[in-house]
Formats: sequence, C-alpha cells, structure tokens
Amino acid sequence: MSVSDEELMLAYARGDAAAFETLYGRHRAPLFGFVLRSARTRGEAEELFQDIWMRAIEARMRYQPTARFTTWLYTIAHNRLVDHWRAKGLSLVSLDAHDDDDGPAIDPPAPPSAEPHEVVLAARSRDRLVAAIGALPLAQREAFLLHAEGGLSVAEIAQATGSNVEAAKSRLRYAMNKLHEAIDE
Amino acid sequence: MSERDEELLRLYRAPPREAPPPPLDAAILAASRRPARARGLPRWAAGLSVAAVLVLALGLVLKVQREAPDAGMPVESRATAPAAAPAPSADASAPESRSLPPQKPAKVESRRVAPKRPAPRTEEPAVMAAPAAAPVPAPAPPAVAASSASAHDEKATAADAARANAAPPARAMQRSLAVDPLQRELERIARLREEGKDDEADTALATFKRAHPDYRIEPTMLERVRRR
Repeated sequence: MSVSDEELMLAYARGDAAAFETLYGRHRAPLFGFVLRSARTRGEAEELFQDIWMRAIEARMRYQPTARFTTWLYTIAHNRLVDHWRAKGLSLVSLDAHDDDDGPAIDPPAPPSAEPHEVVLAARSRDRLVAAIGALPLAQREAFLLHAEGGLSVAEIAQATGSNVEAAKSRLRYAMNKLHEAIDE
Repeated sequence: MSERDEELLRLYRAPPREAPPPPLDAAILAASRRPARARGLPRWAAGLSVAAVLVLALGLVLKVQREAPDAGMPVESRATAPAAAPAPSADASAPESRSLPPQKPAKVESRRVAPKRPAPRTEEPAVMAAPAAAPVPAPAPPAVAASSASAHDEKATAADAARANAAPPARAMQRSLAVDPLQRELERIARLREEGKDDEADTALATFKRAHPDYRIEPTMLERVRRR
C-alpha cells in the first residue's frame, strides 16, 4: 500500500526530501496541465508552475492534513493564478458569484472567438476540445480543470477557489454543458 | 456526473499528459532539497540557544541571590531585619518607626527583604542599637584600632549606603556619627578646620592617622578635614 499524499507532505515538512520527490512525481503532470490550460503561453505556464511549487515548499511547515493534499496544492495554484491575472490587469469579478449567466468571472485573455462552440467549428479533434476549454470563462474553466486535471470534487473545488459549493457546482455544470455543445456540433 | 460527462473527461485525458520540461523539474526538486537540508540547523541551533539562555538565566538568578543581601539592602534594612524576621509585627518595628519616621517606605521594603537574608553579621547589632542610644559613649580608640581594616571598610560602606538611600544629608551624617566614633572625631576635626583652627586641626588629623592608619576616610570628609 502506497503512502498517502498527506503522509508524504508531513514527512517532507519533517525534513524528508525524498518524500517531496515522490509527491512531486505524482502531481507534476496534472498540475502542469492545469496551469498550461489556464495561462496564455507555455512560458507563462512554466513560470506559474514553478511559483506554485515554490509556494508549496515554503508553506510546508504550515501544512495541516485537514483536507486532501491535492486540495491544498490546487488552492495554492488558484491563488497564484488570481495574482497572475490581477498582475495582467484583467478585471476580476468575484469568484463567489454564481455563474448563471454566460459572462466570464474574469475577463478571458481575448480568445479568437468568445464562444466555445464557435471555436470547435474550426476543427474536429481533441484540439477542438482544448480550444473550447480555452474559450470558457475563467471561473468555469478553472472549475473544469480542477476536476479534470486535479480530480477535485465539487466540494473540493469550492474549497480550493474560496467559493461555496453551489457556485462551484454551477460553474462546473456550465463548463461541461458548453464543452458538450462544442463537441456535438 | 453523467455518462456524457465521463466520455468528455476521457476524451480530454486520452492523450499523454504534457509534462514540465526536465530543467524545470530539476530546479524545483533542487529548491525542495535546500530548505529541507537547511531546516536541520535552525532546529539544532534553537535547542542550543534555549539551553544556553536557561543556563545564563539560572546563573544570573543565583548570582543575584548571593549578592542581593549585601549590595542591595540599605543600612536601615539591615538594622530591622533581625527584629522583623522572628516576629514581623508592628511591635517589632515600632522602635525604629519612632526613631526614623520619614523612612517608612524604606522600612516596608526592608521587611519584605529581611526573611531572605542570611544570618546578620556581627557588627550589625551595634549598628542597630545606635539610633536608640543617641549619646553613645565613644569606645576607646585603641579598641577600635584593634578591629580589622575590613571592618572599617564595611562600616564605611554602610555609611555610603545610608547616604545613597536618599536620606537627607544631615540625617545621614547624624546617623554615621552615632554609629562610628571615628566619624565623630573626623567631624570634630572638620569643625576645627571650618573655624580656622588649622594648627589644631592638623595636629588632630595627624593623631587620628597615626591611631588609625588603615581607616579609609570618605572623600567628602577628607575634603573637609584636610588643609585647604
């Protein structure tokens, strides 16, 4: 039976560097995918990815296994992304707001087409799905990526993004519906 | 999560996931090892620091406890200590209260400190009796001269402490005269000097120095008794 993420993180906090390597090996690809789909460029994604892990390393002594390690890690990632978007001057709308409309929670980085289904029309492959994901409003995109990459549940998405469960559930549902529409076309 | 949603997720996750470049992995892992290694030292150093502080604090406390009775206690406190220790009642301190009414705050302090003191030194009873017997007949100079130089020093220190205790100068002088006949003699010489009887003062001072070669005259008194 493998050691849990939480035990590994606690071991790392006690000074076990090997524990961190195991932890990193488990989460590097999903987290990189999450950041890659959230950033505009690969370079930006790599910078954000490194910053997130650095924050996790610095915060290791404060880590408390009250939640899954994954939730803790993606909370750091969410906070770093919010900082990044703010630094980019993107107008930020409260992430706690319900996304019952199609408007973005945060202005998206000017995609070529505002609606996912318009993007999907350009090609019929997984690339279309990826393009559709990039066209989602940020809060919805984040909810989808946290679920698809990080494997977070609705409650964990709410925790990681500092919102409530209803908002997280709504964002994920809207994201899925839009992506289905894009693929079905 | 519906079947359609699962299909969509499978489609998304189908290809191999993109991974960060190896140099980025190496940089992050290297950073993770640095603080992990550095952590050992502060923890070790913190323990050592705490131990060192405890040892120093203990040493300081012991030193203060050893030195406090001699260095910190005013003369009046020493005088009241033996009386207050066995029965710290109002009656026990009553005589001194009568003799030194303005010294009440100091007395309160002395009573508080007194129980911690070691056994009083031999000269203290004499010092204690002095205020009650104002016109104490001066002991014969040879007897005083026979006492050791350190005894003189201790008396001088006691007189200094009495002055430092913020008592009025006149009262301090009166007290020192009462406790030390040698001081009375010096005071007499100083008075001669003030009255212009320098020859008489010189003779008296020379006699005094011959009789008490080890006696340390306080600087202020020395200033008064020597020829200007």
